[in-house]
Order: sequence, then C-alpha cells, then structure tokens
Amino acid sequence: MTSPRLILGSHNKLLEIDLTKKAFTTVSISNEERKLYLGGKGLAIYYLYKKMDLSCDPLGEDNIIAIFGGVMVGTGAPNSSRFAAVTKSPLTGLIVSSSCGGSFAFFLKSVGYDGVIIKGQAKEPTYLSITENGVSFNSASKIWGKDIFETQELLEAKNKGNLVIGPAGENRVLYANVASGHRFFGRGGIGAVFGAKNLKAIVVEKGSFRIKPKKEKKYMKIKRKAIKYINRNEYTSDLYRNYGTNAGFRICNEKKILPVRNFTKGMSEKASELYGERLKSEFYKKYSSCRNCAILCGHKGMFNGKLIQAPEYETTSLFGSNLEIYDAEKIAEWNEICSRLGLDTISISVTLAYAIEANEKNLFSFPLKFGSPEGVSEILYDIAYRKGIGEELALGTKRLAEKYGGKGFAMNIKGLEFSGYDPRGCWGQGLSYSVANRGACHLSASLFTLEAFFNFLKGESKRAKAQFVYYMENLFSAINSLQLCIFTSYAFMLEAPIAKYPPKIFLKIFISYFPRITQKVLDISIYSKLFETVTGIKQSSRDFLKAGERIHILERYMNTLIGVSRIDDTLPERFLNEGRESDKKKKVVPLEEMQEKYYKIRGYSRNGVPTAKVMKKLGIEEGFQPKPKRIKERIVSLVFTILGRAMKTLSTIDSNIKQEIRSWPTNFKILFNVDNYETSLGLLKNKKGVLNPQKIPEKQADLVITFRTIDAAFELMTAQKGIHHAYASNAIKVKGDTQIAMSLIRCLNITETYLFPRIIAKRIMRKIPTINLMKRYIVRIYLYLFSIPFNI
Amino acid sequence: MKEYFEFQNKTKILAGKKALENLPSEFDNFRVKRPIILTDRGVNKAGLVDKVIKACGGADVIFPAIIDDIPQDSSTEEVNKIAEIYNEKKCDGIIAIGGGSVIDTAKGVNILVSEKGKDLKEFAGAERLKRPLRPLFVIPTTAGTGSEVTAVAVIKDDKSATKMLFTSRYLMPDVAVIDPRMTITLPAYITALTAMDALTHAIEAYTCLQKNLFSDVYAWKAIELISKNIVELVKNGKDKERRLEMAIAATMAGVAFSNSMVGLVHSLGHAAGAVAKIPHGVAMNIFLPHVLKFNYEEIKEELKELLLPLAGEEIYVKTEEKERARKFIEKIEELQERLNELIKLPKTLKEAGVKEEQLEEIAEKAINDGSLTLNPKDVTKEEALRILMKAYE
Ligand code: SF4
Repeated sequence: MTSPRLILGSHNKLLEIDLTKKAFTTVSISNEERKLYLGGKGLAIYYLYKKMDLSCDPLGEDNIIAIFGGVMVGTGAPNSSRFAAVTKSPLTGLIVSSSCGGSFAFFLKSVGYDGVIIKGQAKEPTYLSITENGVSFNSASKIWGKDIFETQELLEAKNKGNLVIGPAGENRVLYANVASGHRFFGRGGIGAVFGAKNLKAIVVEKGSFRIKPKKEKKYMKIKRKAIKYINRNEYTSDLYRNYGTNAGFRICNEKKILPVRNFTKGMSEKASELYGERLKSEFYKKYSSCRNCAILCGHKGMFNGKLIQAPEYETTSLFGSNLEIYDAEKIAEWNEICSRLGLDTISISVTLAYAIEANEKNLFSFPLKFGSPEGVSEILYDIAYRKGIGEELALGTKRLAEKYGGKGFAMNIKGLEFSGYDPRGCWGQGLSYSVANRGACHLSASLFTLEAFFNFLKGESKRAKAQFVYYMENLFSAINSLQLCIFTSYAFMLEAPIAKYPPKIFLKIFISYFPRITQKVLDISIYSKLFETVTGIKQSSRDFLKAGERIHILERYMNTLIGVSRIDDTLPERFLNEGRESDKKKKVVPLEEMQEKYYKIRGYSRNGVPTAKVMKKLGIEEGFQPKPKRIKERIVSLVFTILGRAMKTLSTIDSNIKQEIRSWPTNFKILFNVDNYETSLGLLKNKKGVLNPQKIPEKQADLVITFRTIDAAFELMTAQKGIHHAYASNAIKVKGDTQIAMSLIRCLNITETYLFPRIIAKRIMRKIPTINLMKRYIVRIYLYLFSIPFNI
Repeated sequence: MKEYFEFQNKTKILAGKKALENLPSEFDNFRVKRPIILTDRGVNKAGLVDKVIKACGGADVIFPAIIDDIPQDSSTEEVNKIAEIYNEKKCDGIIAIGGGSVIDTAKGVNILVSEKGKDLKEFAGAERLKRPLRPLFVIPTTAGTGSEVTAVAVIKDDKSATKMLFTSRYLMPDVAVIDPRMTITLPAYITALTAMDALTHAIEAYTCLQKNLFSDVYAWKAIELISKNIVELVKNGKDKERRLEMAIAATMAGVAFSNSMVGLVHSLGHAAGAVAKIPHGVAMNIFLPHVLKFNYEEIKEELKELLLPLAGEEIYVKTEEKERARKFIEKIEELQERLNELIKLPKTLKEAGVKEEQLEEIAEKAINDGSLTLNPKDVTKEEALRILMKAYE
C-alpha cells in the first residue's frame, strides 16, 4: 500500500461504471450540490433525477444503480459507515432507496470515491474489482449460482469492501437483496437489479485515502458529545444494545400493534417467546453490528447449536407472530437461509402470510399453514430458485393479489410489503406507511416510535400526526444522506438538554398540541454540526432539515413522474375497514383526514404531486406552473354548501324529491367534485331518506359527478349554464349508476327551481318542473332564511 | 368512385369557447407532467402563452421551459437545440403554440426526443418512424396551415439548405385546441393569407386524385365556413364567433388534405417560396384560380358541386348547371379582388415581388415537387411556365 493520501473534508468524487461498454469514468460533485443534497441517499436521488430515464424498465439496461456513501464515512464518527443505494425498484416500479451498514462505502472511500454508479448491462455474469487504479471487469462464471456467504468466501471478501447478491438476485426475485458483509440493502429488490445487470458482486480493495475533517477540533468535540448521548440514552445504550431491535417486540405486543396472523389480531399471548429480553437471555452471544457502530443493535446468537446472526425485529415479528410461529430457533434458521439466498425477510414473510390466508379463502392453493413451521425452509429455496410455486411467490403480494384476488389482505403499499407495526394502534404510522416514498416502509418516518415507544403521541389519535410524519420524514431523509444510522436520532434528539430536562409530560403536551413550535425547538444540531465540521460547508439545523425535505420531495416528485398519485397513497382494506381481534372497539385508521392535512403541509396538490412552488422554495428547480383559480373555487364551494343544505331540507319537504330519493339505496353516497381542485359536495342518503351533506372521500362514493374544469363548475354553479349543456360540452364526467344520476339531475332541477327565479331557471333547464307558485315562494323564503344560513 | 381508400385523424380536437381550459384534463389523459412549451416571439409578446398557462390553472403540471425564439423557417439546428433542452429538463410532452413553423419544429423535436435520435436527417422521408411519439398538444394561433392535424412536417436542413419532408402517421398531434382567443389578435393581412391557404387546402383536397368521401365532407364544410367568414373577418377581426369558425375551418381543411393530399397549387407555391421567398399563403392566393383553370376539364364536376358551399344556395340555384364550374372560379377571382382592395393582398407574382427571370427556375422546381403526383392532370415544364406567366401580371 502506498503512503496515506489525505482527503480534507469531502472528496466529491464518484465512480461511474458502464457494464455494457466495460468502461468507467470519474464524476465530480460540486460543493453546491453537496450542500443541497448532502450525500448518501440525497445525492444518489439527485443523480438519478438528472441522469436516468424514469420510464425505464427496472430490470432493463437503462436502469441505473447509484450507491453513495455520505461525508461521514471514514471519519470514525459513531454509526457512520452507512451508505445508500438508489435505483428503480422492480418490485414497486418506483424509486427505491435502501440503507446498509456494511463496510463497502468505507473501502470505497479508501480508494478515493464517495460512490459508484452502475449503468448498462453486462453480457456475461460479471463481478467488479475496484482499486485506486480503477475498475476491472471479471467473469463471474465460477461464482454465479453460489450463495452469498460462499461468494464472499470465494472472493476473499472478508477484508474488502463487498456487495454481493445470492441466487435470489440472480434469478430476479423481485424482492432480492444485496449483502455487504452480513448487512443488507434489504428492501425493494435491488438484488434483482444487480442480477438483471448480470452483476454478481463488487469488491473494493483497501486503498490509501484517509479522511481528515476540515474543522477537526470542533469535529472531535461534537463526536464526543454524540458518543456521550448514545451511551446515555435508554434506547441506544440499553434496549437496543441489549436486546437489539427485538426490544420492540414486547412494546409492540403490549401496545397491540404486533402483526399477528397476517395483521388480524394486534397481539398474542405467546409473543413473549420472541421478546428481545428472552432472545438475549437464551440466545444472544455477542455483538454483530454495522461497522463503526456505537449503539450495537446487531447480535449473533447460538441457535440450534450454531452461532449465527440473530434475526431483527421485522424478521421475528413477520416470520414469527404474523405466521403464528413462536419458535425463535426456526426463525433464526429462516433468517440465515434468507441471508444466504439473498431474500428480503420482510417481503418474503408477508408474501407467505398472504399466500396462507389466500389458501384459507380458497383463492390460491398453497400448502403452508398459520402456526406451522412445516415447509417454510423449502419454500424459501423454491422462491430463490423460482421453482414450482416459488415462481409466483417471487413476485410479491401485489402481483399475486392482482392475479388471485384478496387485495384487502395483501399487505403492501405500492407493491412493497408491510413491516411489523399494525397501524390500527398507531395511526401516525398508518399515515406514514401510506405516503412513504418507497411503499409500506416503517423507516420513512418511524412514527411508531413516537406513538408506541416513547409515548409522546397517543396512538389512536389524529392529533399532530401529519406534522410529525412531515418532520420525521425530513429528518430521516437528511440523516440517511449525511449519513448516519437513523437510530442515532433517539439519542441525539432526546438527550439534548431541551428534550431531556423538562418533565416528560411537558414534552408530551408540546408535541401533541404545538407540533410546529416543538419541531422548531427540538435540538438536532449534532447532525448539522457533524456535516459542517467535516466538510467545512456551513450548515444550520434548519438547512439540514430543509435538505431532508428537498430530498424527500424530489424522490416523491420522481415517483409522481413515474405515475404515483393520491390513489396510491392508501392502506390495505384490512387497516381501513376491519378492527383487530385484540381491540374491542374495532378501531381502524382514519386515513383521509390525516392525509389531507399532510398534503397541505407537504405542499402537494390535490392529486399528491409536489407543486412548482414547493420545488422552487426548496431550490430543486424553477418551473412555471399555472396558478389555481382560487376565487372561482371559493364561489363553487359556497354554492356547493348552499346546494347541499337546500337539498337536505327539500329531501324532507318536497314530495317529488322524496319520491326520487326513495328509489336510491340507503347509505347511498353521492359526490360532486372538480378535477384538480379540493372543493367537493358529498351527499349521503341516511336511513330516514334524508340527504345529508357531508365530506365523502372519492374512494367511498357510489356516484361521482366530476367537473372537468373549475370553469365549467363555476358556470354551472352560478347558473350560467344548465346541467344538460354542461354534459353536452363534455364538462362533466359521471362515475356510477346512470339511472340514479338521472334521478339526481331531476332533483337538482327541482332544487334550482326553488332557489332561482323563473327567468334564470328557464335559461338553465330544458323544462322547468311544475311547482305551485305559492309553494315555490314559501319554500324559497324558508330555504334562504333558515336552511341555507343555519343548516336547518 | 374509388375502389379503396384510407382515412385517418387521430387528433383529439378541443374546440370552442374556453377550449384551453380543458387542457389540464388532457394532460392527465396523456399522463403528462412536464411539457415543454414551444412558441415564437410574436405569439409570446401578444400574451398568448400567458393565456394558455393561465387557463391551465390548478393542473398538476410544471412547464420546465418555454422556448419562444423559434424562427419563421423551422430548421434542424433549432430542432436539435430544443431537443437537448427537452432532455435536460426531463420534459415528457410538447405544447406548440403558434403557426406552421412552430408546429413543424415541435414535430421535429418530437421525432428526436421520442426516437432518442441525434440526427433528424435519419428520419426524413416517408414512414421512417417506428413507434408512437411523445404526447404533442398543438394550439394553433393562425387559422391556416392545418398542421395541428396533419401527419407531415417540413424542416430545413441547415447544412444543405434544403427542405426535408417528414411524413408519418405518428406525426399527427395528439390534441389540437381551437380557441378563438388564440386568433383574435391576428392582423387582417395574416388573417386573409392564412385563410387563403386553408381554402386552397380544402379545394385541392376535394379536387385531387386521392380524394375520398370522408375527406370530401371536411373539405366541403371548410370551404363553406371560410367563404362565409373571410371578408368579414378581414374587416373586423374582433368577431369571436367568426374567428372560431375560421379556425375550425382551417383545421377541417387540414384533416381533409392530410388524407387526400394537395396538387399543383402547392407545387407552384412551394417552388415560388423556395426561389422567390414569397409567403406560402400569398402564393396560394395567386395560383389558385390559374390552376383551377388549368385543371378545368378534369375537375369541373367537383367545382360544380363546390359552388354550393362557396357561394351559397341562392347563387348555386340561380346558376345554370353547366355554368357552375366557371362560376366557381369567378367567385374565387372575386374574392381575390376583394382582398386586394381591402388589404392589398397581392394578386400577381409581380405584385408579390417575384422577378420575371425567376419564373423559369420556379417552373423547374415545381414539376419536381412531390405534390404534383396527385394533381388530376400531368404538368410539363412548359405548361408550368405558361401558368406562371399568366400569374405574373
Ligand atoms: S444501531 Fe444497529 S443498524 Fe444502526 S448502525 Fe448500529 S448495528 Fe447498524
């Protein structure tokens, strides 16, 4: 090895590798980009936004994998070895970012690079070796087909940086992962993207570059503080360090948010078998964590007489309680098999749960049973090698449910399977799942920690949830770009004096009732100071959070360009309509309202697309965007209110309307809305046959009448045009029963006859309903004096 | 009657008052989120781009770039430049606001960005495109060329200084928006010239070899609407009703000739444009009656019929059957006269600034023009020259 070469601050160099051409080049990052997107996940997303055709086939040649470390890699700061991979996911078709704690990024930096970009597609199975002198493209014919541990051994990867896929990745199982040592890019099928590129592995030899923070003295001070906080915080120094992420098992069971029997129960009597406390006392033998970790949540344990990696909470809960198998040794064994084959334990176990339930419901023939470990190991191999039924299971829950039915219990969002927190007991987590960029991911905002772990927010409440999903998403995006392990946030946030010293009840009240103020005063400055002292680029806590927001929004925006919109931001029916067995009140997640608020805070349009305004504010890009027509919207919304109240009254006093309504089913829900605008009028036919104006989410409406433009709605609502005219000029779309729609139009005409003078009515109606003059006047006066102003 | 023919118009047409306001729902239909706007200075200065953007209020789109310096003649250099911006800004659709050159430029850009090509020349000629292109929304600001519905584009190659012709069904725009607000500010002279262009499209579509029953219907109605509105609009351009009808007529004429092609008027017009730089519409206006006379024997039955939409029922009925074709040409000449009186629209090549010694070259070019193929009568160079002489003074 040559004598050490010093990198002062951040190196700002990326290695771009083209597998098709077997070529590589170096790309530089500017300080400006560094400040805006930090590194890790952020810069990787930014890079893909610039360079990738978002419409590409995830398993095709045009997909790009960006694997970037952050500025902390190699500084020796606590939990600083983590790095991110971003690509287009074959499982979701959307952008997926994943974080890993192996030593790949550390080695990569030692040869002078912050990240690698993989483009193209190799013709033959290939593995790459990276040294200070560049990249060599080697045939992987001898290691293709080997499992992850064997491959690592054959490549003598122990003391090298490495990224390796197993058979699942080679065979393009849509949720195949990528290993770096014994840590993984777990989610979203990045391993399948490697496989599709014929890329078996990347190894990096140790190089001679070393990092020296720009402001070293200050940096050392911050680092010491960071370690002090970690060693003092209950979660990082005790619960996670001792029990690993399985510390959450007991908590989740007690809070009834444990996934049990494909998310139907919320808790289990037998759960204590899998509590972290038990795993520690019976199995854990030593730490086995990410590189440079000061928290040490990872463990190795003696299971079945073998010292192997202990499963994480997601694995124990989803292979365990969710399949009703409370056998830690079995779960550890499956975990080990998944690690070898390269399967994401979350997606696969949730897919098994779906298949078992689908079999119970006679939708899909599947031999496994809840509560029985029989056949699980075998099926893991079948999936990785895509044999027999494994061929289909390799596609994940979304595709299975599309083919066989049972979407309501196919536990995924946007194609990504759920992790182990039942949102019916932590509504904020439900919101977070629904809007998370990569799908049903618990790490996007981890609201369950605030709701169930720290008890800052009441789980079954909507209060402050939108605000904290927003805040935590920003914070986590920033931390994942710095990049440190997000578990440091427990210590850094909660051990700072502002959160540590006031009585907890104070904090609780503030968080719940003054969320935005609380967010302003919460101290997360360790992160921004680490960035600043290493790079020498000025950064306040606000800048740091804003960078997180920028990264989150850009990722969302990319997804909307691919096709995500509001309808995709949802939860499986099970969480919206079915109560848990353990909950007498059978509560479900009231998603709509929280989501509406969240969209507003985020600066999303009604359809869930980031507006040009927010993109500009965050410095993502400048673009022209037409301004919404707010005045017209207000007027339309006012007339909606008037119409709603008038129809309510008339549905009790006008015999013609009553008769019309009689033919509609009880609980029939009608919705008038306007494309691209928020305003709407919902009408519900209640048991007494009265039409009640109320908010109705589009998904729940039986009949939807949509105005294509706000201008058309305005013309109709201000009686410049009649409904027939609007229909003839394609201004309205009707979704639902046309017979009831016709009946509704007749009701509208009658209502308008009461509301408007004859001269207007004549203009907008083909034929005016005959109503006795006296009655017309009396009712009109009643409507305008009582019904409309006072809603009586 | 012809034994077999084809007819296609895939372009969705949004026409009428407030037509622009419906654009957002078309963006949704085509899943377009980042359309680039292409236009020219004049259109932008007249505030028409703002009108379009404003009308789209509330839509989930961002316009990453507005290119407003497209020159009169669409050229490869311009197309390359815009395609680069399109890619760099990750656009996913094109909105063309303008006349023929803007629309043709947009079509050229669309070829490059959709085929991921580098050189437009590779795609020149007939049916060289292999797959559907990116969504193209066209908002014409002149009522003339009909490019908003046609499957062709003409783009100048800067290197060889020749015009390249592109034809492919994939070039047909996806949506055309005909909104009277877009043509209301058009000056009288341009109004007349573009209307004559459209009228020529319709008449040639109805009289040339590839005509068919579908294109006939479009051509017929176009002639009726143009004839009804042209003079009045030249006198008073602020009449929204007429503007709309004229714009619709131009689009109809576009649909007609896109399917049945054009003939000798266009051959001469293209040649005169290339040699003497006279505007297309002016050339159409000058050559139309001369060509009708030249083709007379072959097309008199069609002209007889067309007297009805051109001159109205009364004149049609009053004119004796065998006189109707002549009457048709007479009426065209009358119109020519009228426009000349009102706004000095040139009636002769001389008035249009063509030099006598250029006629030879024009004739030469004209007989090699592709559109001659479908003219009902063959034309020799001498015949072409004779027509040109007649049109000269
Ligand atoms: S706390 Fe756990 S996940 Fe985080 S860096 Fe340490 S071992 Fe890795």
